[in-house]
Amino acid sequence: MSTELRSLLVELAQDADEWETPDPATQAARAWSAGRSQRGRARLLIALAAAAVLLLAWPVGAWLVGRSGPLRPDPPASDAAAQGLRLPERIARADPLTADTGAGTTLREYAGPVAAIVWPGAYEPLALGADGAFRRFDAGEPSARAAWASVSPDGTRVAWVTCRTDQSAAGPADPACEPDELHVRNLRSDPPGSSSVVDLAELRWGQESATLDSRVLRWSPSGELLLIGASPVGSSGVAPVRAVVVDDSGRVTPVHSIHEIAGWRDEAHVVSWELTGSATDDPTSGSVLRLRTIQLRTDASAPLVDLTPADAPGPDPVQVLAPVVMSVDGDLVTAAGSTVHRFVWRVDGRQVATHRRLDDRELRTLPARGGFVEWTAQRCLADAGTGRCRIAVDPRLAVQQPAIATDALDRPLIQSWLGTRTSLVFWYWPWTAAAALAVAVVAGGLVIREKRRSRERRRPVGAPGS
Amino acid sequence: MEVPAEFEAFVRASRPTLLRTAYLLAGDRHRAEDLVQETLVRVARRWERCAGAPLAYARVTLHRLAIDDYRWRRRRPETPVDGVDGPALADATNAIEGRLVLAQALSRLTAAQRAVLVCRFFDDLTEAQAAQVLGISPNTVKSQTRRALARLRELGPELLTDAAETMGGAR
Repeated sequence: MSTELRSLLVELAQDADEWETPDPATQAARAWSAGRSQRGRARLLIALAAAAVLLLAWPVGAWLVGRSGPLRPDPPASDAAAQGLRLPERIARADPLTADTGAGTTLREYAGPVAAIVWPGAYEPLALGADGAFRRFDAGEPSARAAWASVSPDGTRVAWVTCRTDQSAAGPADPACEPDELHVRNLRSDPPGSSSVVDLAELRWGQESATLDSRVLRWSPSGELLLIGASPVGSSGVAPVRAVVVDDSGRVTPVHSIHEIAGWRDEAHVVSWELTGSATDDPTSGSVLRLRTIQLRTDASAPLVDLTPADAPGPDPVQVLAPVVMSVDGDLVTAAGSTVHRFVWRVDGRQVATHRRLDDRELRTLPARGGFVEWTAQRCLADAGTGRCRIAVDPRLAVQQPAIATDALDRPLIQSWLGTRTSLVFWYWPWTAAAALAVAVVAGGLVIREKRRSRERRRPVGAPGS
Repeated sequence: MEVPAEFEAFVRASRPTLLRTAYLLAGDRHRAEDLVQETLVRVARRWERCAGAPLAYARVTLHRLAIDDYRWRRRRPETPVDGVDGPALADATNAIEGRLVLAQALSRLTAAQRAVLVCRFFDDLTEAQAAQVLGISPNTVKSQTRRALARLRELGPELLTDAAETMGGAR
């Protein structure tokens, strides 16, 4: 080996020992600070890039998986009438508020079943057809508009009440919205589009006039009959509520002995409930929740049955139920109120179960087959038992509470690659993807800039641009 | 930001060594200081990973930074570099002039040639070790060494009076 070259190299390198250099502690601190900052920036950039890639890759992957088919089960071949009645897993905004002009935007031109009805904010209700399009209900006259509506279990019949008002922006709950007409439309293909209109001003119980007020529209299990709540004209809020039944031809039959409507037990019987001895009447007495089954044809009423909610909290267990929402499914009656409990009785008064509701925040209960579905604060229709979100509703629709064709809940849903996720990120996924792309671009730009700066830092002193 | 005592001790102990190597690689005090500083920053960035052998990591980093630096300057030449005729070298008639001639000769080598010379004759590394530090194959180390010595002999014949021995003695 060249000892001469080595000794020359050592001698040359020893020149560096004579340089004035910064204090090692200062240099170490400077290097440490810069190194850790670089590491932090690098990690942040990597995390941003990874997040962006995930956000971009996930919808694409889910879309590809969704295209492969298993997420879209075919409807059962049986029950051809209900073949088209399927609810989407996600009820998304399809610009319903501008769908008031042009052909096909009202139910008049539509022949398929209706899967759901939504009330977008204070606006009129909209029918969600099985084809996924929203349609308005026909108001009949320009001065009238649809206020509230209901759909039969199989989705082939819809009823809606119109009211006359000069306040075009008034919502369904507006007292200025006087019920005017009841429209019942048959959406079955044979005969197509037949409809009947009941003039609500002509409602009568014998010689007594009545007015629609409870806004309860309940279809019988077969969808042949419609039970609507009504009261004698001029009655106060504490007067017994009465009801009428409207059949397929629009014929109105009064139901005299009904109180609050619970629902249909079968095609021939309806179940009514009442709360007596309430705190309003007598603060010292306990309340009693009573149930009555009414035979429609004879208008005969079975004896009242007291319902006692066991395991209910508080000194007055019935009061904790108010306001009561009841649902009837065969022999089972389910009641849910403002508390976190739900009670199930048989119609003979025997209590079957007490459930604790899954969430007590901003929940509304919707009568459904077999009990309830719950409308959650996340704008989700959830199974009452499991709390699992089954149908997610776009928050941009500002829906307060949808009405569902109950048969549709028993059928496979039209699945979406987004599932029932309710986060705004998923409702606004195109914007999310765009934002992720922007983040990726920015992260890439920062990486490039960081690399350039790193090169700049290494640029020799006196080099051009240094 | 609190500096770990171990890192400060490492800087204190290794800086003279790194500075000498950097000076040989860069041929310029300011560049050498910049290289050392950047090397220390890189070591700090990966301190947890290289804490077992920080000097080895620093040496590898220093050599590669020097090569990057050379390549950067080669794209933006401000002074003649490899293969470019410069002013005549001083006559190495004494030790000081010998160092001056060596510095000037080194400045006319490529970064890779300088790096192999420093690894082989200053850091006293074997071909395999030099190959590992520089990230190249041992054969490349061998060929680069041969070219570097030939170039040095061409630039300053008096620097390598025993060139044949040098070539033969390369491990």
